[in-house]
Amino acid sequence: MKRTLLLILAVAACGPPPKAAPIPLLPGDGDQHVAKPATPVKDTNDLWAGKTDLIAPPPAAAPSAVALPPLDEWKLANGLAVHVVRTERAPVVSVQLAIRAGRMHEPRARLGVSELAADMLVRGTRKRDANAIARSVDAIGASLAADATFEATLVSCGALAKQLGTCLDLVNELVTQPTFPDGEIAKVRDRIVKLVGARLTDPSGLAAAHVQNLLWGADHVRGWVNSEQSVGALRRDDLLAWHKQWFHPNNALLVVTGDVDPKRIRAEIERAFGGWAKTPVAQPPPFKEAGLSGSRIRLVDAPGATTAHVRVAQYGIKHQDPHFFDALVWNHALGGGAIGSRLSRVRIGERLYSATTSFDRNVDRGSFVATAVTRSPDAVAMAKAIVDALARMEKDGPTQEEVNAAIASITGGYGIRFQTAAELGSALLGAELHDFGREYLTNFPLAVGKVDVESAKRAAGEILDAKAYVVVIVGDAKDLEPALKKEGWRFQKVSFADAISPPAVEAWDPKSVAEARRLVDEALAAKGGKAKLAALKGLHMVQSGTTAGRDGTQKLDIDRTIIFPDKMRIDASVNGNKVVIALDGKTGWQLAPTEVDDQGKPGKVQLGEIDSNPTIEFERWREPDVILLRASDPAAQITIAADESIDGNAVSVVRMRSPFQGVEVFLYIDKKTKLIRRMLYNDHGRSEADDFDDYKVVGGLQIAHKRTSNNNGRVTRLEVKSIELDPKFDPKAWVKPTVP
Amino acid sequence: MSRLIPAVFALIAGIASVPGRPAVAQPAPAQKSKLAIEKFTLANGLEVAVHPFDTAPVVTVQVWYHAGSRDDPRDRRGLAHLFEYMMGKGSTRVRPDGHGQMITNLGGNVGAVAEEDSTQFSDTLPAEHLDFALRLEAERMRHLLIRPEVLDEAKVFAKDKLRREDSLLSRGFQKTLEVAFTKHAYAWQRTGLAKEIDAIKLEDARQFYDTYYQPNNALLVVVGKVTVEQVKASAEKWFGSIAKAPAPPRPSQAAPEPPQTQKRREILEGLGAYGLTLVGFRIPAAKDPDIYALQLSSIILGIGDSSRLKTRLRAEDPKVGKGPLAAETITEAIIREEPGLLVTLGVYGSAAAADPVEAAMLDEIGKLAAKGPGADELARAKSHARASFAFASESSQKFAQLIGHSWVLVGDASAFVRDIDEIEKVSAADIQRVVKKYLSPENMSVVVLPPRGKS
Repeated sequence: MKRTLLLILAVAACGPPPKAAPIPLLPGDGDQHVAKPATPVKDTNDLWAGKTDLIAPPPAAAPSAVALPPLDEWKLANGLAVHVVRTERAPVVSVQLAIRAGRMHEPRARLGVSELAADMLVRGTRKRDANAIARSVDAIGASLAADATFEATLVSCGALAKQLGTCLDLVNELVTQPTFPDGEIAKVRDRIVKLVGARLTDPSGLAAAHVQNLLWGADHVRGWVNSEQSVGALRRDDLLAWHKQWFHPNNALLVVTGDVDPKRIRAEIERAFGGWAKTPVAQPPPFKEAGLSGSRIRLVDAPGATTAHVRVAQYGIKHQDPHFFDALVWNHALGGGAIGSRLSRVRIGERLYSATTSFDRNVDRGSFVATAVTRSPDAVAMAKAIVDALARMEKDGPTQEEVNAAIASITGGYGIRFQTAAELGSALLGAELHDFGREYLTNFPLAVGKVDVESAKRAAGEILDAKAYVVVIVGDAKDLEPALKKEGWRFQKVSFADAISPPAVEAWDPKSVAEARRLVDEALAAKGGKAKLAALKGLHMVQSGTTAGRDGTQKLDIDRTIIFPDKMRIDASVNGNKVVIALDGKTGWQLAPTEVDDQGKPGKVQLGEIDSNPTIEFERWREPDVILLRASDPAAQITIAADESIDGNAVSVVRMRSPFQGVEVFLYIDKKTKLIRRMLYNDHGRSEADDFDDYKVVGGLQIAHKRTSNNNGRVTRLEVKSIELDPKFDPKAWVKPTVP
Repeated sequence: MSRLIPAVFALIAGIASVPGRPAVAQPAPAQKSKLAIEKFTLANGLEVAVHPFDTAPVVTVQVWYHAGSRDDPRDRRGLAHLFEYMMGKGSTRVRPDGHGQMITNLGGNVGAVAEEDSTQFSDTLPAEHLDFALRLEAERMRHLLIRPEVLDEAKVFAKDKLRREDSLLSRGFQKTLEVAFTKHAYAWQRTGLAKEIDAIKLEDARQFYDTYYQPNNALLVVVGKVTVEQVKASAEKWFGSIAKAPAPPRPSQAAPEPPQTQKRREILEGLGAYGLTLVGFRIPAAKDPDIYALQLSSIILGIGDSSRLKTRLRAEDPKVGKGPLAAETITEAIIREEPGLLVTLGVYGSAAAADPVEAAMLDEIGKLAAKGPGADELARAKSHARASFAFASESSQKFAQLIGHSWVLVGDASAFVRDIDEIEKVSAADIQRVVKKYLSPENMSVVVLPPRGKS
């Protein structure tokens, strides 16, 4: 659920301030961030036709083994596998450590934990906080990074050779002593949540996520898609558990490359990593391939889009598969070699497009995906052209010329990749992660060179299946549906805004649930008693204060009446501009000036309808003065979270799932007073908070007289001027006026 | 040296990754030989720089033309940049895109970058194809076909890039250049101006090509698993027959920037959702010996997490509420063949931060001028410079770039190797002296872009 709300409703209720309306930023809404179709190539007079003196490329050299410096490899007593290659080109070293803990190891209920944990490694250890880590790196001109891939978490440090010891120590410190401090988690998580959000509104990112989801389904890790909600729900405990489960020397690989001293390197590594204790490591969770019987097509409707993103996918090939090199070759001929491959020039009508194809290099089969962007009217024809090309490749394989070209390009480019110590290190790490060893790197060109037309054809026939594939098209359905129907393709239609992976609901530990219920009961008693609260018919509250954001500070006055269960009227004034909102059951209206213009002046006052929607329902549900009633409902889903402190006061934290999909509420209950000090709302990973203070007894109930809402830089402070319980009210106040 | 340049700066149109003058520690004799650069000149004036190394079976071939946006005619700004595109679009004996395709088919890659002082073309491929790469480069040096349709495509490409690179940062940077440079061609960025790009005629492009794309206005760089003899033979074979041309004109040298005598300050209102303050200081040309100390000064001030400006501006400031004073700050000494600019900027959210950010930036510069750097700061800066150089010398492409930039900036393809010692020699007193001399109020251009809709 996206809670979008008028500014005034939000601040009136001391709730989260508004977010921009969810305008789909999609192709056609402007061209700045939008992939465009290939520029049509004009047919011009061919000035070069018939020329005999054109420069021809030289024949490619026969593939040969790559000469690599000698490798030293051994295992520490704690099981850490070490590989060292000495290169002397420059006085630099690269230290790279891989922990076998990546996306493929993530539990369904903790999607995104590998990425968050990796990013958090540089944000604090038992010895240094984030700034101190950054300063240590900076002081020696080094670079330090951590990232998670599908298969592993990678930590790397590059520095001048004489700083090898510092690099080894830093990498060791990051993986053995991370503290995952809460303050840093909030920052890093927010950033990832934003990235995930951006990925899922970008048509290309959306197509990529949907195609994996459609191919692998809901029961395979490859089919799960991180959402703002899944990442936003991650907490420190999750990171600690993740670290405890996987970060062990016997589950890791260390590669050191560069200008190392061969006499001292073993001792240095032993000194840095020898004390890391060995611990049994669980097997990664197994996943079954659902298999593809027939083809599936998903249309992701993005209204207003003028371009369409097309993906066609099948299962790929394991890196360890003996036909892997054959697959490299036919893929190059099909669409992997950017220039000159079959799909590099696809003519649809007047226009020339291109598609690229690729497959993952992974321990499991992974995916084989073809990617293209076209004008909307050409998208279905493009998908068809890709499927036709797959079918031809499956049936006939590549030609001799294509095989030659692929071998020349793949093997020719191979040596170029290992110039720097870091490049050599990561290539070695990649090979070792898949249990290949350095021979893989040395002999790679030879292995590719052995591929012939027959073997490539056989591999294409085994992997490709033109009768079982998935297609995803992200674009405007009104442009795409007619073409899909014309082709007779049956398809599933979803909206660009739909969640791709439904949120995982995790069962909470019964002990924690019981503890949460006890805390809520205590808080209810402190508030004035459950019976008294339940008997409350309504509230009338007058508040005043300020709201301060990037646009400056504005004065705010609010007169708010709530009549339970579902009447709410707010008369507010923001810097003198009056706004009225009235909600009654499922309908409502508002009187408000139109949006503020560039000069800061509000437009004229308009009368508008408000339809019942989840946003408004949520605002009523989470009314702070009665939230404890919701929490004490036997059906409420609550548990406890780790204790925290607010302004030095210890608080217990109750975590509650709202009935609004994906939105959670955290109640921070003062350990001494048992009153609510903070309500934190977690909506798809975006956290917003209201703080409550200055409690006074009104009619037997403890009511906070000071509220501070803090969200995304906007701080709203309100003080209660008067409160009336069970107020008299005039039903006419909810009748929609006729003239604004 | 590209690691010296903060990634964010790469976003700004016009700040090409000019590496300035790299530096490393005083090398041992063996190390010096690792960096040996062999130079020779063909009869037609083509300079050649070769650096053999055998880490990988690779060669990078680059041709640097001493022609950049600085050489654009005043009413055709953006012309030099068009060659980034046009040089790959066909010559007498190579079809459009053929150059790139043939290299790619051999497993290699190509690149082209137009900057203020130069334009470079790069081919990296298996070393056994050295001769072929040189043949292709010689072909397009003098046989490019500048056809109307290619010029039209290049204009679309250039204007598209202008649009893509348009950002608050880019606009603020452009304004800073205009304020700092009142006469000189460094006042505009390499991408030029859309309306002047539109005005470029076929004749303009052909004339520019014939003026600047000549052997005696170019440097051929070869780095990789090759021998000097191989390069000599191939260079002579493919470039030797190209005739020498008249020395090209240098319009920018005819329009030198008059000395600045007082602080300049401009405010651009209502441009963006966030605020931006840029402070530029005119600095001398790359050849000036003060450049070493200035480069270290820029590192001490604003490069790296523990630099003075990053520490100061990222700290919480009660004047602007909770959170850091500025969201980001970037500093770079933009070193060019002719006098350049040291720029530092701060990005912030609220209008209230504008004055404190500017004051903090100037305060930190003032402190450095008053007291000079601490020993640890100077050591950190030198470590940065050393590490940057060491990493850049690892790959054939990056090392070729160091050679090319050295040739462009100081007229000597191997001069940067000698810079090694110079940076080590810089003392705290040198830093203090150059900061006083160049980062002074009368040499300063300030541009403020407050957040939109606020006074």
